[in-house]
Amino acid sequence: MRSTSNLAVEVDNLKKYYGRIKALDGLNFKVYEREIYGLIGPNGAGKTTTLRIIATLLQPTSGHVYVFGHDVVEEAAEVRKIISYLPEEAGAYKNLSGLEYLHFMASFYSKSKDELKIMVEEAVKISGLNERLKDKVKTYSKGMKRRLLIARTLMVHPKLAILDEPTSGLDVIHAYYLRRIIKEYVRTYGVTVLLSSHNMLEVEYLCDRVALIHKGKIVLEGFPSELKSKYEASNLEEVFAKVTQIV
Amino acid sequence: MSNAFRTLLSKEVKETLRDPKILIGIIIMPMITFGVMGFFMQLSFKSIKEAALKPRMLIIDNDLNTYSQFLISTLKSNTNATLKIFNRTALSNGLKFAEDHNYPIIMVIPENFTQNVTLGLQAKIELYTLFKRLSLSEGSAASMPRALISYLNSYLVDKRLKSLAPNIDTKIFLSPIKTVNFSIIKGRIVNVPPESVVNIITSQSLTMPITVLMVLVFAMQISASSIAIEKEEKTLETLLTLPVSRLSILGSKLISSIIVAAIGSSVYLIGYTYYLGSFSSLSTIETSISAEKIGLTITPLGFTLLGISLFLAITSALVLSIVVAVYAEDVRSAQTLIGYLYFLIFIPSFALMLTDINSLPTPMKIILYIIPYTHPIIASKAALLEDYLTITYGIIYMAFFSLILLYIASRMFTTEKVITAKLSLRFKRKI
Repeated sequence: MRSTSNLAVEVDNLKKYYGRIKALDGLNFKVYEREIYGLIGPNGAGKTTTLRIIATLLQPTSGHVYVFGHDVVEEAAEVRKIISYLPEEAGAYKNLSGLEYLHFMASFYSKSKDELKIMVEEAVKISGLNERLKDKVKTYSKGMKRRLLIARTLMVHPKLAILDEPTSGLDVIHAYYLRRIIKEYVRTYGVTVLLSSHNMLEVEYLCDRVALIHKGKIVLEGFPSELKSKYEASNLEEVFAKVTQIV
Repeated sequence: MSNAFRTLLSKEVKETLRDPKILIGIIIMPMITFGVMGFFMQLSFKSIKEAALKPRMLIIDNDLNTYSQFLISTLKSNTNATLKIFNRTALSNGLKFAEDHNYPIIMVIPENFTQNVTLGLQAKIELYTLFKRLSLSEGSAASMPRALISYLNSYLVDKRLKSLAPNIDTKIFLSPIKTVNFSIIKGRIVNVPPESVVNIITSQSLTMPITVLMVLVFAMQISASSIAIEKEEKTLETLLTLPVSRLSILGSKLISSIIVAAIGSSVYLIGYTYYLGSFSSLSTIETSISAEKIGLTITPLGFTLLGISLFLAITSALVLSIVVAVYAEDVRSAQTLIGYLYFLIFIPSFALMLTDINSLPTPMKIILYIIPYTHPIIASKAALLEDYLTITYGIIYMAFFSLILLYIASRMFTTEKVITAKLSLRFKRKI
């Protein structure tokens, strides 16, 4: 384990090849504790690959990634204890009820029955699904399922929450609800969040700092307000468009 | 068993048993199929039995004399037959009546029947069986009148012999040599004809391959589905980032598959036994000889070795199907991929159902020995014959095979292969 002052994630010259295809080409960035850090970029830029490597699902071709000082390859088991990952197209076990699913997930993180109960109660609150949690997951709408999954991700109080497109495919109401929940929860519990999103409104609303990935490299990084003034843009969408044209 | 493992196992079993596809395909369908098949078999055998024991018979008595009367009165007093008797009538008249009133058997006693019997000439009785529906019960209806004629024959032979030599034993006269059959099993002489031993061996050698076949097929389907469903429902990535060892995830999938496969196989075997039982409803006399009586039993050591052999076969089949299913993206393609492995189970099961491996040509023998799933089938017979060395060789081979597969599976689960492995089925894309 490396000593890290207040670093939550450190990505160092990260490269990833799928056969001959280069997905990441020497990626470097740092995420600080209690920060909400957003990765933005076009489809195929390498956002999901980066998150999957940090979540210990994929292994880098070269380079290093540390989560709170733990190497994601060498100390994957330690990393998994402190992260909670929400994939973009995640599902839940359809033949379990929402409540059973939350119990199942909480049992891996809780050390006692009381702790488990608290986690599940918190998830019930976050999801806002109330009585529907007693129904099987297969009866849920897409929005309900995503609320359940966000609740599952946050209830365990991870040191690092990795959210891949947290509101992808959701309608305005569900997306608004979830963004609000994420922001409130993160501020209350001091969780570090690393997320990826296509939605610039979402990124601006949620993130303290953002990084633009293009062709497997970070081409821009900074605070949203700083980036907007640097590129004389009214929102991050314009910044995004200008930078990708230049690159 | 750690808490995390127990939680994973409980989730796996719940998810599998609650999956309607598995519940219907593996538990409910075999019950219904065998239940319905057995029910219809029993109905069919019941009608055959009834037709045999309570035949409807039309008798045309053109003799109207002592022996025809004797035959008819024996039929009336000793059987449950429904009789309709016509005196001195043409067959065509009787046939029309029989067709109109559903009498499948017509017995014609010719005019000089008694006279021929009395004179010691060969007398004739004509039995006509009417096939209107081409059913088995129609065919069996003539069995009782035939048995009765046979009885009458014995009676007449006995009577004639006694009139010639009152002290003669008819049985000995007709069969001067009697064969007494013995079988030697595991060096022990038992007073049982070889046919009975063959019957027992046949039933045993059918049961084991069918059991192995069903258990393995169920287990492979379930374990392949358990990994493919995680991919299809997009739950695998989350599962793999949980703070639980990847080998526990693999282990829970293997054990839950064994549990569900055991339930499925039990249901299948209960159904199969019921179905087989429906055949025995045809027999009226208890002729079975137990395997214990002739010494064809398995010792505790034999049972243990057979259990290890089966366990290794199941384990290796489960791991093999998981390794293959990792390459599938959904349940359907996993089932397709698993289907390609079934030949490994079907070939030894069918080849060894009625044949002994040693009687096969050498190349065939080698092929069968290479297939791991041959060994539990061989072991079942070897256990009966107390040939523990053969079982042990099979166990060593299967243990080696299972270990290699377990190593491959654990490598897949502890690396990114479990996420990234994909098999492009090119032929599918052309469709």
